[in-house]
Amino acid sequence: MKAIRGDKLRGHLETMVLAALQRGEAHGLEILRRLDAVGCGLLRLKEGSLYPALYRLEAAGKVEADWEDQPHGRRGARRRIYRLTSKGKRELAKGRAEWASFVRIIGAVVGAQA
Amino acid sequence: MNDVILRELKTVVERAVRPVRATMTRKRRMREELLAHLTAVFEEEAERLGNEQAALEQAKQRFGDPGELTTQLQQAVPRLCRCRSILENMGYRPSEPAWHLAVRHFLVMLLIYSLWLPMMLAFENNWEIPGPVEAQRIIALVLVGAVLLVALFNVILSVVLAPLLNKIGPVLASKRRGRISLVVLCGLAVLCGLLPHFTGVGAAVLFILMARQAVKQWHYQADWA
Repeated sequence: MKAIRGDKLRGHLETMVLAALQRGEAHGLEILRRLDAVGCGLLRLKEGSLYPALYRLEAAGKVEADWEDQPHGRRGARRRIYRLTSKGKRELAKGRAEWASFVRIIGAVVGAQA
Repeated sequence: MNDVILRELKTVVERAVRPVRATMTRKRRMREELLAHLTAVFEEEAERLGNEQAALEQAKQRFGDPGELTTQLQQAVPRLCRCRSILENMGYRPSEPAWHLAVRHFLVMLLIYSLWLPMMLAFENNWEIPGPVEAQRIIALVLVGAVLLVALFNVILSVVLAPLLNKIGPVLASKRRGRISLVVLCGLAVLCGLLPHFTGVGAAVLFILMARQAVKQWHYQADWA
């Protein structure tokens, strides 16, 4: 199966991040690991791109974050741990409904039902 | 991970974050978080590949193009934060000569008073449009009188306070800060406050604002410059 690259993921990244955070709070790398696991290694996202999406979600009140207590690794900086807010949960439900409708309609147009 | 690798990783992060127009606090948060991510990716790759140089290349590739990331980070910065960063840029920067700050303050004061004083005079005139003689009087008053006096006040303060901050700034930003910095800051603020009337209060407020800005800048220089 062909990998799905960043430009195709861009419009859906925020909903995907919300879905990954539904499984529990996580830092950026852990979110990417969750996405990668669900996407069977076929999601090819430039990892830096995750953070602008997280900042947008945070500014919109859909996620909240705290710095971890201890710096990561021997020389590393601190990571931020993100979690879903109630607004984020509502937004995720809305995103799922929109996605289902999108797949249904476009699937019918191109003749490839999911 | 050795220092060379860490510097390489910091350079990648810095290339992405430095051009972003945002407040220093926000950019510091971005830097720290992105570095934490990149460090973790590097460690993961080093363990997998068993070669630090190859791991570094792989980490950079996974991270993506810094220029592209700058654009995305900029889009994620709220408008208010962008405006605050403009104000921050007007403030104190330890690396620049004091006269740069003085000139900047002069120009800001010129702008503020050019707007404020005509408004005040118009208010006193019951918002009537002034005649040509009156208009000339207002312009003369704005340009020669209040603006120059207040700007001069700021220029002197900038020239006096900036070198002072250059001396105590590294202490304020060091790990020994806390009590020392608080005592130094309060002492200087009180000294400024002893100046007559509003001059003293203005100087104290200006000094505290400049010190706050200086600490952020020194933190940045210590970690990233």
